[in-house]
Amino acid sequence: MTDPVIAPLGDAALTVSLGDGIDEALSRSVVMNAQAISGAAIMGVTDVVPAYASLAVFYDPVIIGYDDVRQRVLAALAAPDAGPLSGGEGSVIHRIPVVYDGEDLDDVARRTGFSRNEVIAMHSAIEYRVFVTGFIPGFAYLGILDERLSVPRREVPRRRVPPGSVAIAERQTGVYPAASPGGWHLIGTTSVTMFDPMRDRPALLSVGDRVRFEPLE
Amino acid sequence: MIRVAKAPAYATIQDGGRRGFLANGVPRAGAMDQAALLSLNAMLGNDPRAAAIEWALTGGQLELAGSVVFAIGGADADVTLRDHPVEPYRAYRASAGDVLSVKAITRGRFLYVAFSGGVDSDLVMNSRSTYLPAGFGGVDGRRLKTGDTLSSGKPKARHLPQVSDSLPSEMRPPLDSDVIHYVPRDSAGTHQLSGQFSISPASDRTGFRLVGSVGTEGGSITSEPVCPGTIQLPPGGEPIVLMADAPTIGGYRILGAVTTADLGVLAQRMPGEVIRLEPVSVKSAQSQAVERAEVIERIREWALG
Repeated sequence: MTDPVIAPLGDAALTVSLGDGIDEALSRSVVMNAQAISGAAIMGVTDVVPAYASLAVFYDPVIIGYDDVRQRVLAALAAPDAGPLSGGEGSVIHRIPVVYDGEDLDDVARRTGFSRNEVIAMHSAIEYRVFVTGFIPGFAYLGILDERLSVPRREVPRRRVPPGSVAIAERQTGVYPAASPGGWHLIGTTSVTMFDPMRDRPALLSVGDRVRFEPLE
Repeated sequence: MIRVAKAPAYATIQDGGRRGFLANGVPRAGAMDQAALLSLNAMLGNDPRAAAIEWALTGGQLELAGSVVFAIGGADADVTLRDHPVEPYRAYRASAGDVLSVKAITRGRFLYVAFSGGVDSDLVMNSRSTYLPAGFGGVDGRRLKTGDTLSSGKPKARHLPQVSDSLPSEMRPPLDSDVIHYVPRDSAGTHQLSGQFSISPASDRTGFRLVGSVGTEGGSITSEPVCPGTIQLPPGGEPIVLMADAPTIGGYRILGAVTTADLGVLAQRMPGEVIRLEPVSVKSAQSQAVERAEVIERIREWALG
Protein backbone atom coordinates (compact mmCIF):
# COMPACT_ATOMS: atom_id res chain seq x y z
CA MET A 1 0.00 0.00 0.00
CA THR A 2 1.30 3.44 -0.92
CA ASP A 3 1.11 6.66 1.11
CA PRO A 4 -2.27 8.32 0.77
CA VAL A 5 -2.49 10.90 -2.04
CA ILE A 6 -5.06 13.66 -1.49
CA ALA A 7 -6.46 15.77 -4.34
CA PRO A 8 -9.47 18.08 -4.64
CA LEU A 9 -12.64 16.76 -6.30
CA GLY A 10 -14.02 20.19 -7.13
CA ASP A 11 -14.48 22.74 -4.35
CA ALA A 12 -16.72 20.64 -2.08
CA ALA A 13 -14.99 17.25 -1.93
CA LEU A 14 -11.56 15.67 -1.87
CA THR A 15 -10.32 12.26 -2.97
CA VAL A 16 -7.92 10.14 -0.91
CA SER A 17 -6.13 7.51 -3.04
CA LEU A 18 -4.59 4.59 -1.15
CA GLY A 19 -3.35 2.62 -4.13
CA ASP A 20 -4.76 1.34 -7.40
CA GLY A 21 -6.58 -1.68 -8.70
CA ILE A 22 -9.04 -4.17 -7.29
CA ASP A 23 -7.61 -6.02 -4.36
CA GLU A 24 -9.35 -7.37 -1.28
CA ALA A 25 -6.76 -6.14 1.26
CA LEU A 26 -6.72 -2.67 -0.32
CA SER A 27 -10.52 -2.56 -0.32
CA ARG A 28 -10.63 -3.47 3.39
CA SER A 29 -8.12 -0.73 4.11
CA VAL A 30 -10.24 1.82 2.21
CA VAL A 31 -13.35 0.87 4.19
CA MET A 32 -11.40 1.05 7.47
CA ASN A 33 -10.01 4.48 6.64
CA ALA A 34 -13.44 5.73 5.54
CA GLN A 35 -14.78 4.67 8.93
CA ALA A 36 -11.90 6.44 10.70
CA ILE A 37 -12.69 9.67 8.81
CA SER A 38 -16.42 9.36 9.54
CA GLY A 39 -15.56 8.69 13.18
CA ALA A 40 -13.48 11.88 13.34
CA ALA A 41 -16.75 13.85 12.86
CA ILE A 42 -15.05 16.72 11.03
CA MET A 43 -17.26 19.81 11.08
CA GLY A 44 -18.82 20.51 7.67
CA VAL A 45 -18.27 16.96 6.36
CA THR A 46 -21.51 15.40 5.07
CA ASP A 47 -20.46 12.15 3.36
CA VAL A 48 -17.50 9.79 3.26
CA VAL A 49 -17.67 7.51 0.23
CA PRO A 50 -15.42 4.45 -0.10
CA ALA A 51 -14.50 3.06 -3.53
CA TYR A 52 -12.04 0.26 -4.42
CA ALA A 53 -8.72 2.00 -3.87
CA SER A 54 -9.84 5.51 -2.97
CA LEU A 55 -12.43 7.35 -0.96
CA ALA A 56 -14.00 10.79 -1.17
CA VAL A 57 -14.83 13.19 1.63
CA PHE A 58 -17.67 15.62 0.87
CA TYR A 59 -17.88 18.90 2.78
CA ASP A 60 -19.51 22.31 2.75
CA PRO A 61 -16.89 24.86 1.57
CA VAL A 62 -18.82 27.63 3.31
CA ILE A 63 -18.15 25.91 6.66
CA ILE A 64 -14.63 24.56 6.14
CA GLY A 65 -11.88 25.11 3.54
CA TYR A 66 -9.87 22.57 1.58
CA ASP A 67 -6.63 22.92 3.59
CA ASP A 68 -8.45 22.38 6.91
CA VAL A 69 -10.37 19.33 5.68
CA ARG A 70 -7.18 17.92 4.21
CA GLN A 71 -5.31 18.29 7.49
CA ARG A 72 -8.10 16.71 9.54
CA VAL A 73 -8.42 13.83 7.07
CA LEU A 74 -4.66 13.19 7.28
CA ALA A 75 -4.89 13.18 11.08
CA ALA A 76 -7.78 10.67 10.97
CA LEU A 77 -5.83 8.44 8.56
CA ALA A 78 -2.88 8.43 10.94
CA ALA A 79 -5.04 7.51 13.94
CA PRO A 80 -4.12 3.95 14.99
CA ASP A 81 -7.53 3.21 16.52
CA ALA A 82 -9.42 2.92 13.24
CA GLY A 83 -12.55 0.92 14.04
CA PRO A 84 -13.19 -2.60 12.77
CA LEU A 85 -15.33 -3.26 9.71
CA SER A 86 -19.00 -3.03 10.56
CA GLY A 87 -21.12 -6.09 9.87
CA GLY A 88 -19.76 -9.59 9.57
CA GLU A 89 -17.54 -9.52 6.49
CA GLY A 90 -18.60 -12.39 4.25
CA SER A 91 -21.37 -13.58 6.59
CA VAL A 92 -24.19 -12.83 4.11
CA ILE A 93 -24.45 -14.84 0.89
CA HIS A 94 -26.95 -13.74 -1.78
CA ARG A 95 -28.05 -16.12 -4.53
CA ILE A 96 -29.18 -14.21 -7.61
CA PRO A 97 -30.93 -16.14 -10.41
CA VAL A 98 -29.93 -14.94 -13.89
CA VAL A 99 -31.27 -15.52 -17.38
CA TYR A 100 -28.14 -15.23 -19.53
CA ASP A 101 -29.77 -13.43 -22.45
CA GLY A 102 -27.77 -10.16 -22.47
CA GLU A 103 -27.42 -8.06 -25.61
CA ASP A 104 -23.62 -8.25 -25.42
CA LEU A 105 -23.26 -11.95 -24.55
CA ASP A 106 -22.33 -12.97 -28.09
CA ASP A 107 -19.93 -10.06 -28.39
CA VAL A 108 -18.23 -11.00 -25.10
CA ALA A 109 -17.98 -14.63 -26.26
CA ARG A 110 -16.44 -13.49 -29.56
CA ARG A 111 -13.98 -11.10 -27.91
CA THR A 112 -12.80 -13.62 -25.30
CA GLY A 113 -12.76 -16.60 -27.67
CA PHE A 114 -15.19 -18.73 -25.64
CA SER A 115 -18.65 -20.13 -26.37
CA ARG A 116 -21.77 -18.60 -24.80
CA ASN A 117 -22.03 -21.59 -22.45
CA GLU A 118 -18.41 -21.26 -21.39
CA VAL A 119 -18.90 -17.56 -20.61
CA ILE A 120 -21.99 -18.41 -18.54
CA ALA A 121 -20.17 -21.20 -16.70
CA MET A 122 -17.18 -18.95 -15.88
CA HIS A 123 -19.38 -16.06 -14.74
CA SER A 124 -21.51 -18.24 -12.45
CA ALA A 125 -18.62 -20.30 -11.01
CA ILE A 126 -17.24 -17.63 -8.67
CA GLU A 127 -18.48 -16.48 -5.27
CA TYR A 128 -18.02 -12.72 -5.59
CA ARG A 129 -17.34 -10.14 -2.86
CA VAL A 130 -19.06 -6.72 -2.75
CA PHE A 131 -16.13 -4.31 -3.01
CA VAL A 132 -18.07 -1.06 -3.17
CA THR A 133 -21.61 0.12 -3.68
CA GLY A 134 -22.44 3.17 -5.70
CA PHE A 135 -22.76 4.46 -9.23
CA ILE A 136 -26.55 4.42 -8.75
CA PRO A 137 -28.64 3.36 -5.74
CA GLY A 138 -28.28 -0.36 -5.12
CA PHE A 139 -25.48 -0.95 -7.63
CA ALA A 140 -22.76 -3.15 -6.12
CA TYR A 141 -19.34 -3.63 -7.69
CA LEU A 142 -18.56 -7.35 -7.42
CA GLY A 143 -15.17 -8.95 -7.82
CA ILE A 144 -13.12 -10.52 -8.83
CA LEU A 145 -14.27 -11.65 -12.27
CA ASP A 146 -12.41 -14.49 -14.02
CA GLU A 147 -9.47 -12.92 -15.84
CA ARG A 148 -10.42 -14.76 -19.03
CA LEU A 149 -13.69 -12.77 -19.19
CA SER A 150 -12.02 -9.40 -18.73
CA VAL A 151 -13.04 -6.94 -21.47
CA PRO A 152 -12.67 -3.15 -21.28
CA ARG A 153 -15.75 -0.93 -20.88
CA ARG A 154 -17.61 0.06 -24.02
CA GLU A 155 -15.92 2.99 -25.75
CA VAL A 156 -19.21 4.88 -25.84
CA PRO A 157 -21.49 4.15 -22.89
CA ARG A 158 -25.14 3.28 -23.52
CA ARG A 159 -27.50 6.10 -22.59
CA ARG A 160 -29.98 3.59 -21.12
CA VAL A 161 -29.31 0.15 -19.70
CA PRO A 162 -32.51 -1.70 -18.67
CA PRO A 163 -33.04 -2.50 -14.96
CA GLY A 164 -32.01 -5.99 -13.84
CA SER A 165 -29.21 -6.20 -16.41
CA VAL A 166 -26.29 -8.35 -15.26
CA ALA A 167 -23.11 -6.90 -16.70
CA ILE A 168 -19.33 -7.19 -16.74
CA ALA A 169 -16.37 -4.87 -17.36
CA GLU A 170 -12.70 -5.62 -16.76
CA ARG A 171 -12.45 -7.71 -13.57
CA GLN A 172 -15.86 -6.60 -12.26
CA THR A 173 -19.46 -7.71 -12.48
CA GLY A 174 -22.73 -6.28 -11.17
CA VAL A 175 -26.47 -5.81 -11.61
CA TYR A 176 -28.08 -2.53 -12.80
CA PRO A 177 -30.84 -1.97 -10.21
CA ALA A 178 -32.59 0.69 -12.31
CA ALA A 179 -32.48 2.08 -15.84
CA SER A 180 -29.35 4.21 -16.14
CA PRO A 181 -26.57 5.13 -18.52
CA GLY A 182 -23.86 2.49 -18.45
CA GLY A 183 -20.63 1.39 -20.09
CA TRP A 184 -20.58 -2.28 -19.05
CA HIS A 185 -21.31 -5.30 -21.27
CA LEU A 186 -24.76 -6.82 -20.72
CA ILE A 187 -24.70 -10.60 -20.41
CA GLY A 188 -27.96 -11.43 -18.58
CA THR A 189 -31.05 -10.35 -16.66
CA THR A 190 -32.36 -10.94 -13.14
CA SER A 191 -35.78 -10.21 -11.63
CA VAL A 192 -34.37 -9.66 -8.11
CA THR A 193 -35.13 -6.17 -6.70
CA MET A 194 -31.69 -4.78 -5.97
CA PHE A 195 -32.91 -1.47 -4.49
CA ASP A 196 -36.17 -0.34 -2.91
CA PRO A 197 -36.15 3.12 -1.26
CA MET A 198 -39.05 2.08 0.98
CA ARG A 199 -37.29 -0.99 2.43
CA ASP A 200 -35.59 -0.66 5.81
CA ARG A 201 -32.34 -1.44 4.04
CA PRO A 202 -32.92 0.08 0.59
CA ALA A 203 -29.90 -1.62 -1.04
CA LEU A 204 -29.86 -5.45 -1.15
CA LEU A 205 -26.06 -5.66 -1.19
CA SER A 206 -23.58 -4.16 1.29
CA VAL A 207 -19.80 -3.99 1.19
CA GLY A 208 -18.34 -7.32 2.33
CA ASP A 209 -21.38 -9.43 1.32
CA ARG A 210 -20.89 -12.47 -0.94
CA VAL A 211 -22.87 -13.07 -4.14
CA ARG A 212 -23.46 -16.10 -6.38
CA PHE A 213 -25.17 -15.93 -9.76
CA GLU A 214 -27.31 -18.96 -10.61
CA PRO A 215 -28.09 -19.57 -14.31
CA LEU A 216 -31.77 -20.06 -15.21
CA GLU A 217 -32.79 -21.89 -18.36
CA MET B 1 -53.15 23.84 -2.78
CA ILE B 2 -51.51 23.82 -6.21
CA ARG B 3 -53.17 21.88 -9.00
CA VAL B 4 -51.25 20.96 -12.15
CA ALA B 5 -53.83 22.08 -14.72
CA LYS B 6 -51.59 21.34 -17.69
CA ALA B 7 -48.30 19.57 -17.06
CA PRO B 8 -45.26 20.56 -19.14
CA ALA B 9 -43.11 17.89 -20.82
CA TYR B 10 -40.82 18.03 -17.79
CA ALA B 11 -41.54 19.14 -14.24
CA THR B 12 -40.36 17.55 -11.00
CA ILE B 13 -40.09 18.49 -7.34
CA GLN B 14 -36.49 19.30 -6.36
CA ASP B 15 -34.72 20.69 -3.31
CA GLY B 16 -31.12 20.99 -2.14
CA GLY B 17 -30.65 17.26 -2.70
CA ARG B 18 -29.72 14.31 -0.50
CA ARG B 19 -26.82 14.43 1.93
CA GLY B 20 -25.54 11.51 3.95
CA PHE B 21 -26.54 8.68 1.59
CA LEU B 22 -23.75 8.85 -1.01
CA ALA B 23 -21.97 5.88 0.59
CA ASN B 24 -25.14 3.84 -0.11
CA GLY B 25 -24.97 4.75 -3.77
CA VAL B 26 -27.81 7.26 -3.52
CA PRO B 27 -27.12 10.31 -5.74
CA ARG B 28 -27.49 13.81 -4.40
CA ALA B 29 -30.14 14.78 -7.02
CA GLY B 30 -31.78 18.16 -6.25
CA ALA B 31 -32.22 21.30 -8.33
CA MET B 32 -29.96 21.56 -11.40
CA ASP B 33 -29.57 25.31 -10.74
CA GLN B 34 -29.05 25.40 -6.97
CA ALA B 35 -28.22 29.11 -7.05
CA ALA B 36 -31.66 29.92 -8.50
CA LEU B 37 -33.48 27.74 -5.95
CA LEU B 38 -31.46 29.10 -3.01
CA SER B 39 -32.18 32.68 -4.14
CA LEU B 40 -35.92 32.02 -4.41
CA ASN B 41 -36.03 30.29 -1.02
CA ALA B 42 -34.17 33.23 0.54
CA MET B 43 -36.59 35.74 -1.08
CA LEU B 44 -39.61 33.83 0.19
CA GLY B 45 -38.22 33.43 3.71
CA ASN B 46 -38.10 29.65 3.23
CA ASP B 47 -35.78 27.12 4.75
CA PRO B 48 -32.77 26.84 2.37
CA ARG B 49 -33.71 23.19 1.85
CA ALA B 50 -37.33 23.90 0.87
CA ALA B 51 -38.49 22.21 -2.35
CA ALA B 52 -39.80 23.88 -5.51
CA ILE B 53 -41.02 22.82 -8.93
CA GLU B 54 -38.23 22.43 -11.50
CA TRP B 55 -39.74 23.10 -14.91
CA ALA B 56 -38.29 22.59 -18.41
CA LEU B 57 -38.93 22.09 -22.13
CA THR B 58 -42.51 23.30 -22.68
CA GLY B 59 -45.24 25.51 -21.26
CA GLY B 60 -48.02 24.48 -18.92
CA GLN B 61 -50.38 25.74 -16.25
CA LEU B 62 -50.80 25.61 -12.50
CA GLU B 63 -54.09 26.44 -10.79
CA LEU B 64 -53.59 27.97 -7.39
CA ALA B 65 -56.31 27.23 -4.86
CA GLY B 66 -56.19 29.36 -1.74
CA SER B 67 -53.94 32.29 -0.98
CA VAL B 68 -50.37 31.41 -1.79
CA VAL B 69 -47.16 33.42 -2.23
CA PHE B 70 -44.81 32.36 -5.00
CA ALA B 71 -41.84 33.52 -7.09
CA ILE B 72 -40.18 32.25 -10.24
CA GLY B 73 -36.51 32.21 -11.20
CA GLY B 74 -33.75 30.36 -13.03
CA ALA B 75 -34.39 30.29 -16.78
CA ASP B 76 -36.13 33.28 -18.38
CA ALA B 77 -39.71 32.44 -19.24
CA ASP B 78 -42.89 34.00 -20.54
CA VAL B 79 -45.19 33.54 -17.52
CA THR B 80 -48.52 35.10 -16.59
CA LEU B 81 -50.77 35.20 -13.53
CA ARG B 82 -54.42 36.05 -14.35
CA ASP B 83 -53.06 37.05 -17.78
CA HIS B 84 -50.65 39.64 -16.30
CA PRO B 85 -46.93 39.12 -16.88
CA VAL B 86 -44.97 37.62 -13.97
CA GLU B 87 -41.46 39.01 -13.46
CA PRO B 88 -38.65 36.73 -12.30
CA TYR B 89 -37.39 37.00 -8.70
CA ARG B 90 -40.44 38.90 -7.50
CA ALA B 91 -42.90 37.59 -4.90
CA TYR B 92 -46.58 37.46 -5.90
CA ARG B 93 -49.63 36.61 -3.84
CA ALA B 94 -52.17 34.55 -5.78
CA SER B 95 -55.79 34.11 -4.77
CA ALA B 96 -58.00 31.08 -5.07
CA GLY B 97 -58.59 30.02 -8.66
CA ASP B 98 -55.73 32.05 -10.13
CA VAL B 99 -54.00 30.41 -13.07
CA LEU B 100 -50.21 30.61 -13.34
CA SER B 101 -49.43 30.02 -16.97
CA VAL B 102 -45.96 29.29 -18.35
CA LYS B 103 -46.15 30.05 -22.09
CA ALA B 104 -42.56 29.18 -22.94
CA ILE B 105 -39.03 29.15 -21.60
CA THR B 106 -37.25 31.86 -23.56
CA ARG B 107 -33.64 31.65 -22.37
CA GLY B 108 -31.93 28.97 -20.30
CA ARG B 109 -33.14 25.50 -19.48
CA PHE B 110 -34.61 25.13 -15.96
CA LEU B 111 -37.31 27.38 -14.53
CA TYR B 112 -38.11 27.21 -10.81
CA VAL B 113 -41.55 27.91 -9.39
CA ALA B 114 -41.11 28.31 -5.64
CA PHE B 115 -43.79 28.81 -2.99
CA SER B 116 -43.67 30.40 0.42
CA GLY B 117 -43.38 27.45 2.81
CA GLY B 118 -41.95 25.24 0.06
CA VAL B 119 -43.66 22.48 -1.93
CA ASP B 120 -44.60 19.68 0.42
CA SER B 121 -44.08 16.00 -0.37
CA ASP B 122 -42.91 12.97 1.57
CA LEU B 123 -39.28 12.97 2.59
CA VAL B 124 -37.39 10.04 1.07
CA MET B 125 -33.95 9.66 2.64
CA ASN B 126 -34.24 13.17 4.05
CA SER B 127 -35.06 14.98 0.83
CA ARG B 128 -38.04 15.79 -1.40
CA SER B 129 -35.94 15.67 -4.58
CA THR B 130 -37.26 13.49 -7.38
CA TYR B 131 -34.73 10.97 -8.64
CA LEU B 132 -36.28 9.76 -11.90
CA PRO B 133 -33.83 6.94 -12.81
CA ALA B 134 -34.79 4.96 -9.69
CA GLY B 135 -38.27 6.45 -9.34
CA PHE B 136 -38.30 7.88 -5.82
CA GLY B 137 -38.78 11.28 -4.16
CA GLY B 138 -41.17 14.09 -5.11
CA VAL B 139 -44.52 12.77 -6.38
CA ASP B 140 -44.12 8.97 -6.64
CA GLY B 141 -40.62 9.43 -8.08
CA ARG B 142 -41.99 10.73 -11.39
CA ARG B 143 -42.57 13.86 -13.44
CA LEU B 144 -45.62 15.92 -12.50
CA LYS B 145 -48.65 15.13 -14.61
CA THR B 146 -51.87 16.96 -15.33
CA GLY B 147 -54.28 16.60 -12.41
CA ASP B 148 -51.62 16.26 -9.70
CA THR B 149 -52.25 18.34 -6.61
CA LEU B 150 -49.44 19.65 -4.43
CA SER B 151 -49.57 21.47 -1.16
CA SER B 152 -47.21 24.11 0.07
CA GLY B 153 -45.87 24.00 3.60
CA LYS B 154 -47.14 26.45 6.22
CA PRO B 155 -45.14 29.67 5.96
CA LYS B 156 -44.35 31.33 9.27
CA ALA B 157 -46.09 34.72 9.32
CA ARG B 158 -42.97 36.63 10.32
CA HIS B 159 -41.13 35.08 7.40
CA LEU B 160 -43.59 36.23 4.74
CA PRO B 161 -41.86 38.44 2.23
CA GLN B 162 -42.42 42.08 3.06
CA VAL B 163 -41.51 43.58 -0.29
CA SER B 164 -43.19 43.48 -3.64
CA ASP B 165 -40.19 44.76 -5.60
CA SER B 166 -38.11 42.60 -7.90
CA LEU B 167 -34.84 41.32 -6.49
CA PRO B 168 -32.12 43.78 -7.59
CA SER B 169 -30.24 42.29 -10.54
CA GLU B 170 -26.85 42.35 -8.77
CA MET B 171 -28.24 39.85 -6.24
CA ARG B 172 -29.66 37.47 -8.86
CA PRO B 173 -27.68 34.38 -9.86
CA PRO B 174 -25.98 34.78 -13.25
CA LEU B 175 -27.79 33.10 -16.13
CA ASP B 176 -25.80 33.70 -19.25
CA SER B 177 -22.07 33.55 -18.48
CA ASP B 178 -20.36 31.29 -21.00
CA VAL B 179 -17.20 30.86 -18.90
CA ILE B 180 -17.37 27.76 -16.70
CA HIS B 181 -14.64 27.40 -14.07
CA TYR B 182 -13.43 24.05 -12.84
CA VAL B 183 -10.92 22.79 -10.29
CA PRO B 184 -8.47 20.50 -12.12
CA ARG B 185 -7.66 17.14 -10.53
CA ASP B 186 -4.06 17.51 -11.58
CA SER B 187 -2.78 20.89 -10.43
CA ALA B 188 0.42 20.40 -12.47
CA GLY B 189 -1.69 21.01 -15.55
CA THR B 190 -0.72 18.02 -17.67
CA HIS B 191 -4.26 16.75 -18.03
CA GLN B 192 -6.16 20.00 -18.13
CA LEU B 193 -9.00 20.90 -20.43
CA SER B 194 -9.21 24.40 -21.74
CA GLY B 195 -11.04 26.02 -24.55
CA GLN B 196 -14.41 25.99 -26.19
CA PHE B 197 -16.94 23.21 -26.11
CA SER B 198 -20.51 23.00 -27.26
CA ILE B 199 -23.23 21.30 -25.23
CA SER B 200 -24.24 18.03 -26.89
CA PRO B 201 -27.94 17.19 -27.34
CA ALA B 202 -27.09 14.04 -25.31
CA SER B 203 -27.33 16.03 -22.08
CA ASP B 204 -29.70 15.54 -19.19
CA ARG B 205 -29.92 15.71 -15.39
CA THR B 206 -27.28 12.97 -15.09
CA GLY B 207 -24.64 14.56 -17.27
CA PHE B 208 -23.86 17.05 -20.02
CA ARG B 209 -21.72 15.78 -22.86
CA LEU B 210 -19.36 18.33 -24.36
CA VAL B 211 -18.27 18.46 -27.98
CA GLY B 212 -14.90 20.00 -28.77
CA SER B 213 -11.26 19.24 -29.15
CA VAL B 214 -9.66 17.65 -26.10
CA GLY B 215 -5.90 17.93 -25.71
CA THR B 216 -5.60 14.87 -23.50
CA GLU B 217 -6.36 11.14 -23.57
CA GLY B 218 -9.48 9.62 -22.07
CA GLY B 219 -9.57 6.25 -20.43
CA SER B 220 -10.93 3.80 -17.91
CA ILE B 221 -9.83 3.86 -14.27
CA THR B 222 -10.50 1.76 -11.19
CA SER B 223 -13.88 3.26 -10.24
CA GLU B 224 -13.61 6.27 -7.93
CA PRO B 225 -16.14 8.49 -6.16
CA VAL B 226 -17.63 11.20 -8.40
CA CYS B 227 -20.18 13.98 -7.81
CA PRO B 228 -22.17 16.69 -9.58
CA GLY B 229 -19.64 18.79 -11.49
CA THR B 230 -17.09 16.01 -12.03
CA ILE B 231 -15.58 16.13 -15.53
CA GLN B 232 -15.00 12.64 -16.90
CA LEU B 233 -13.15 11.71 -20.06
CA PRO B 234 -14.15 8.26 -21.41
CA PRO B 235 -11.93 6.42 -23.91
CA GLY B 236 -14.23 7.72 -26.65
CA GLY B 237 -12.88 11.19 -26.01
CA GLU B 238 -16.05 13.24 -25.43
CA PRO B 239 -15.91 14.90 -22.00
CA ILE B 240 -18.92 14.46 -19.71
CA VAL B 241 -19.75 16.88 -16.91
CA LEU B 242 -21.81 15.01 -14.33
CA MET B 243 -24.85 16.97 -13.18
CA ALA B 244 -27.35 16.82 -10.27
CA ASP B 245 -28.27 13.14 -10.76
CA ALA B 246 -24.58 12.16 -10.97
CA PRO B 247 -23.80 8.61 -9.95
CA THR B 248 -21.72 8.31 -6.76
CA ILE B 249 -18.96 6.23 -8.39
CA GLY B 250 -17.50 6.33 -11.90
CA GLY B 251 -14.89 4.50 -13.94
CA TYR B 252 -13.79 7.10 -16.48
CA ARG B 253 -10.72 9.31 -16.16
CA ILE B 254 -11.44 12.33 -13.94
CA LEU B 255 -10.08 15.68 -15.13
CA GLY B 256 -11.55 17.84 -12.37
CA ALA B 257 -14.86 19.26 -11.28
CA VAL B 258 -16.86 22.36 -12.16
CA THR B 259 -17.10 24.83 -9.28
CA THR B 260 -20.19 25.00 -7.06
CA ALA B 261 -20.68 28.61 -8.22
CA ASP B 262 -20.66 27.74 -11.94
CA LEU B 263 -22.53 24.42 -11.99
CA GLY B 264 -25.93 26.14 -12.05
CA VAL B 265 -24.75 28.38 -14.88
CA LEU B 266 -23.74 25.30 -16.88
CA ALA B 267 -27.09 23.63 -16.08
CA GLN B 268 -28.87 26.52 -17.82
CA ARG B 269 -26.99 26.06 -21.12
CA MET B 270 -28.97 24.59 -24.03
CA PRO B 271 -27.70 21.97 -26.51
CA GLY B 272 -25.59 23.68 -29.16
CA GLU B 273 -24.57 26.57 -26.92
CA VAL B 274 -20.85 27.15 -26.58
CA ILE B 275 -19.01 27.38 -23.25
CA ARG B 276 -15.39 28.00 -22.34
CA LEU B 277 -13.82 25.84 -19.63
CA GLU B 278 -11.23 27.60 -17.47
CA PRO B 279 -9.19 26.03 -14.65
CA VAL B 280 -9.25 27.75 -11.27
CA SER B 281 -7.60 26.97 -7.91
CA VAL B 282 -9.60 25.23 -5.19
CA LYS B 283 -9.00 28.27 -2.93
CA SER B 284 -10.44 30.72 -5.39
CA ALA B 285 -13.40 28.40 -6.16
CA GLN B 286 -14.13 28.21 -2.45
CA SER B 287 -13.96 31.96 -1.90
CA GLN B 288 -16.48 32.29 -4.73
CA ALA B 289 -18.75 29.76 -3.00
CA VAL B 290 -18.48 31.77 0.23
CA GLU B 291 -19.30 35.00 -1.65
CA ARG B 292 -22.41 33.35 -3.14
CA ALA B 293 -23.51 32.23 0.32
CA GLU B 294 -23.13 35.83 1.50
CA VAL B 295 -25.30 37.06 -1.37
CA ILE B 296 -27.99 34.53 -0.36
CA GLU B 297 -27.90 36.00 3.17
CA ARG B 298 -28.24 39.51 1.73
CA ILE B 299 -31.30 38.36 -0.26
CA ARG B 300 -32.82 37.03 2.96
CA GLU B 301 -32.28 40.39 4.67
CA TRP B 302 -33.56 42.30 1.63
CA ALA B 303 -36.76 40.24 1.63
CA LEU B 304 -37.39 41.05 5.28
CA GLY B 305 -37.36 44.73 4.28
